[in-house]
Amino acid sequence: MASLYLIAHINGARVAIDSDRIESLVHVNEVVPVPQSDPSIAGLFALRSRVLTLIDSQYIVTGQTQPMAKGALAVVAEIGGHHFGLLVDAVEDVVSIGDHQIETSIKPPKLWASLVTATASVDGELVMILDPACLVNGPEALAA
Amino acid sequence: MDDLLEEFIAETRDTLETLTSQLVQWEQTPQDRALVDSVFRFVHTVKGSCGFLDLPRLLRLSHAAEDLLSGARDGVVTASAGLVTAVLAIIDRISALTEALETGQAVHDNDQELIDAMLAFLPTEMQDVETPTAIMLDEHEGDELGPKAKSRTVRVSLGLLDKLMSGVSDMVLARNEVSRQLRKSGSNNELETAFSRLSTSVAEMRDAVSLMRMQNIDRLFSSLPRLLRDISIELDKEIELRIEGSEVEVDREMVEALRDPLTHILRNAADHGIESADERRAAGKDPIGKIRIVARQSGNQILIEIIDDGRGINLEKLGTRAISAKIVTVAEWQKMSEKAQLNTIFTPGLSTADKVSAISGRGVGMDVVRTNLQAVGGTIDLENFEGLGLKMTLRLPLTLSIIAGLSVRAGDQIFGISRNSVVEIISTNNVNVKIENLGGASIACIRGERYPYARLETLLDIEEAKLSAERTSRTLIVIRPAVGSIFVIDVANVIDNEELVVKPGAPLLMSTGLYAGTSLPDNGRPMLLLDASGLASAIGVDLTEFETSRTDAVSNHIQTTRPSALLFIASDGVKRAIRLSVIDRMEDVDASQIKFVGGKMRASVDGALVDICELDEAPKNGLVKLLKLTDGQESKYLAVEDVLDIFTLDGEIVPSARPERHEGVVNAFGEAVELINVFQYFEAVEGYRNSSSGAPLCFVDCTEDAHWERRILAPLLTASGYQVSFDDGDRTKAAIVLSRDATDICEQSKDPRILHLRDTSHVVPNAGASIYRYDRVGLISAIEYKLAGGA
Repeated sequence: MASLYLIAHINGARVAIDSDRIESLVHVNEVVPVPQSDPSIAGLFALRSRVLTLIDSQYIVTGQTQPMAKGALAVVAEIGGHHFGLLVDAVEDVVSIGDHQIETSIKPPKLWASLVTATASVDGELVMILDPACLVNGPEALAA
Repeated sequence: MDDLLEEFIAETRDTLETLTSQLVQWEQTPQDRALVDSVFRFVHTVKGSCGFLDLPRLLRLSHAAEDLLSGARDGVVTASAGLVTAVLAIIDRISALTEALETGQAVHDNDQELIDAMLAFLPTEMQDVETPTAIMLDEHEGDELGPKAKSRTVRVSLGLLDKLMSGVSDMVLARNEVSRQLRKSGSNNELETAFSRLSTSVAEMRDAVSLMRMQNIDRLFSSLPRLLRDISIELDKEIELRIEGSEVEVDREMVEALRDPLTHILRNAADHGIESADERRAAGKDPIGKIRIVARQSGNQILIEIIDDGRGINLEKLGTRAISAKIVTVAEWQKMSEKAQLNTIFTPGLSTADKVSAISGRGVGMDVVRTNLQAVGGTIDLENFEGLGLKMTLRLPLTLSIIAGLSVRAGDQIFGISRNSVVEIISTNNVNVKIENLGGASIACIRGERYPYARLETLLDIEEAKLSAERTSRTLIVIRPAVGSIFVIDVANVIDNEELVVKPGAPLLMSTGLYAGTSLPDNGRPMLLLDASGLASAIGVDLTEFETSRTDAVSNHIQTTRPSALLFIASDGVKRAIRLSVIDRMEDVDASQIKFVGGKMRASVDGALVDICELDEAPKNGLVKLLKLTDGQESKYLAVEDVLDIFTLDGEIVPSARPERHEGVVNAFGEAVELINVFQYFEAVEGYRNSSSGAPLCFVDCTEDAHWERRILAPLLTASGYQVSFDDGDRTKAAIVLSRDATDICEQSKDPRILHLRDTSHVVPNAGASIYRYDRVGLISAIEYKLAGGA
């Protein structure tokens, strides 16, 4: 069983996100900050008539907030009934990853451990399969 | 098949609610054939569908119920409490089974016991005659039971509705964008007409879609008679329930949100409120208790009143409880106002019931009710008539998704706040406002009342925007949160008053406790909605503190040292402003008191005739909103469509092109509006008075048919306090001679009284002293100058 994954870059690392979880890919231009909120929230932005919460993916990995550039790329996903934009550095391509490509013996680095479900080898290079829900629920998971 | 089943489940659930209330009604009016018929018809439909869908248990239950009801139709059995209870038991089981169909859970099968219990009410010989009943019924179905004229409806899933709604919101945003682009690209009449048509239809569509979410409140009320019946049987009290206003429409989510609070209140009323029959008799009341539920729409609020004629709340007892439960101290209790004392019933862990019953009295209840109501933005008020009853008023916003909001600026960000919680908006420059320092913390003192205070920027930890030249003051917003006491937040300024579509925020965002959700105003920039209770706890307001009694501060009473103006919608639909100082008060005058007499629109109020300005047509009926203006001596009414708000005239007053009509153009809440020149209304009065007391005479030299002189110049002069004459015979005694005739210029040197009016605003060379004829101020001052003896 192979499914399609979007290869994106977060904090310089290649990650794969299940394309079924992704609604769209957008450039975020205007972000309204949310004062006093968890630092993983980069702000709010409007996508058509919806208000989406923008997640600073890099913060969740490194604990360092990343400066927001105009037109930053975000992966839009619905998680737990809410729509989120997950900031990514860049996107590459959509690839198919089958079960046989999963590298069970390779564990993701500690920074990523709470976000990544598996590691797979795509065209000879390793990628981490990212669960977008972990980005949103990340802080609680880290706290636990 | 699945579709059919879903349809069946949805339909059955809907009808079951109506059915239970009808059954209860039937119990009270056993002779009502129509009710029995209607109940019968429903059970029959269920039976039919069950047979078709092969649901044997439901079939057996509905079949049995049908048997009994057909007996009732034939007059073999009559409604009694026991019988109705038995039928209700069957109905409940049907409902449980229907739910089970959806969830896939099993329901314990003791159906036969229920059926037996119910059929015991039938005379024995009736019990096994199913076939004839069924046949008889089919005949009936055709004629007298034919479906009543129903409004045509279709079932639509909520998800689809929401999608439609967000689609329409998209359209609105897109429309706004188009309108911005249009304005940029300059005017094109055809395009604008087409756009305004589009714009109107989009607006209509948005209204229609929001109506689609509305539902009859009857859906909520229909389950109450049954509930009350069960309670009253359990408590052995006779209680009559009256429901009014079932036709009020509310958002469907509101119906769900209200179900629990309303049930709680009703239970409480029946259990604690209504006394036993003996007690009632002893108190000289009708032994049958009465509970009235009234729903009505008032503006953009829904009011639900629950009125019982029971014993009310015994404050003394309540106090004893509150003190023994250590909620308040004796001293505190004695200092509290009656209202505050009453409100202690909303404190968790307090109950006035003497004994705990299955229904209520465990001390959980009213606090939960209040919390639930607050969750949907509602409030609850109590009116206690000790010994005579209790009236509870629930106030709810019309919809969950749209609130009346106030947008405020803090730093360089804009936040929304629900207007429901805003008590007053007041400028920091107001003399009645003082920010006091108390050991490093700030306290706002408004008209002598002290409130907890904080800057919104501080609360949110954002940078404060510098006060600029045109904005020298900040604005205080007095907020009454749903729970806890009043507090004040200090924002840079209030921007607008608008309807906000509330969207829930992501859990991470809500966990801050400061926000109630997000919204997307028409400008397309997301906005955070502040949560009043969240702000209160951020400030550190004691949430359990009781409201101190305070005089109702209405924003209309704001007095500022700097001039304030009232923003209103004029009778021609345009927003205008008028200086607050000239307004005496606002009155609603009945249309019958308004008449066009003596060339003016006048209102006869309290025996006096007062002129009405800016009202072109006397309305046929209804009330007309009038602002009573006064210059200290004379009063005038100014007709307005609506009064919007008060603001301070601290911005620049840009000169108007028509100074006689408008003092200038000012900025009101980010919008340019005309500031009305009040003198136009009063100067007419002056002219009228002066004409009889030897005002200077102006002779206007013109031909018989000179329109401008007769229609424009003469009224202006009259209004300015001069007598006007067109009669050549008056020329010699006139103090001023006005003329547009160029030949008069030559005579000017001979006759100093002549004032020449020219047609262009440019000064014509060699024209001598002339005034542009539309330069009203120039003209009047030239006349004054000449009268004073100048040349």
